[in-house]
Amino acid sequence: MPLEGELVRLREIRPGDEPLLASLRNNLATQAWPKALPPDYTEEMVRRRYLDRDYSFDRKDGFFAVEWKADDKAIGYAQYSGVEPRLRGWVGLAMTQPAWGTGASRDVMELLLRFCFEQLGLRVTMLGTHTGLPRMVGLAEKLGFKVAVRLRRSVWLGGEHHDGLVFDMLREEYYAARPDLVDRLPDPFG
Amino acid sequence: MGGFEGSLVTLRSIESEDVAQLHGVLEHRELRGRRYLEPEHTGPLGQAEVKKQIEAWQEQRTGLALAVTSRRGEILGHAVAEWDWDPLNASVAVVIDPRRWGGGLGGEALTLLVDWVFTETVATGVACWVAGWNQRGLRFAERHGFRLAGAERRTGVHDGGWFDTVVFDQLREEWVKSRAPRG
Repeated sequence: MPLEGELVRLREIRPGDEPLLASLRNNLATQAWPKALPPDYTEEMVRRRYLDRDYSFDRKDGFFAVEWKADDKAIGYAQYSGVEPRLRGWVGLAMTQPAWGTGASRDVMELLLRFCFEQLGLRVTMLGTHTGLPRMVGLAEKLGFKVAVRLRRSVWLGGEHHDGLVFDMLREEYYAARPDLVDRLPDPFG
Repeated sequence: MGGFEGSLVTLRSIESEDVAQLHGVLEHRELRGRRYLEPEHTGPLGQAEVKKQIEAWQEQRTGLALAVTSRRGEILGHAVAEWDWDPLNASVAVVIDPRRWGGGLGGEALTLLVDWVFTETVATGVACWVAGWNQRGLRFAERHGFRLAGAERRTGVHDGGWFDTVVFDQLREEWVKSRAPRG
């Protein structure tokens, strides 16, 4: 069963998603990480990265295509990664520009957070971004993330330095802000 | 010798033959959880783990891992500078034998290492990560020109509770200023 929010669903990446994923990576406005440059990713590269993965029960990450629930049209990409089991992991997304400002990104992040806390049993979820991405910073804050670390001038992108930001959200902060959910995983040190 | 020479310590390349001596330092109980090895853990340390780490350091192409030795050549710990993929952002770590703490050895090792980062690489800044329970390490970073950048919360478990990892950074211009003659 895919992960369904109010507006979007997260589903596995399928053959046919390659053009969207390559275009997100090749658009300097939608890919935000200097390590990912240059914007010359091909559909074949994308296919090998996402569709040639081996079956495994030892996964530390998850990759999803984002699609509108209304018409099944794919509009983005979401992931969690770097999972230290039952402790912490990172979330991130890239959305096509027409989906910006529609509430879709927030819906995606809520789905990822819910998955990380409810299914993976993480104690803290993290999000990395930088000060050159005010939309992402605003989204993180709206979701309830707090700035954990600000590394001054650590990101060079688009002809200028930006401060690298690590946001984090503790498990109890997530549940406190979402009273419809109940945390049944006890804190061993609480 | 070819190492970086201070008045108290020398930083030199780590050799395969250093396993036993470095293990003798790192197995000290006081260093558990702050050995700056990959993976970091708080259990007893085997020589095989130290051997594996030395091999990993020797293969590292984005940084420098060095033995910290006394002027007489005895291994006191290790010092690491690395930058993953982006040489604009380095990070550093220094580990010193607890039996030799308090003599300025770690401070000199860190100074030699940071000097190397800013004189031999393009780094804009250098960061260091310190477990929140490591009060000595926190003071050490601040005393040596690093500024608090924040703390990643709940990064692990230590002594019956969660701990945070405190992050510090130092910009190139701050390092330049710190080296300027005073007065």
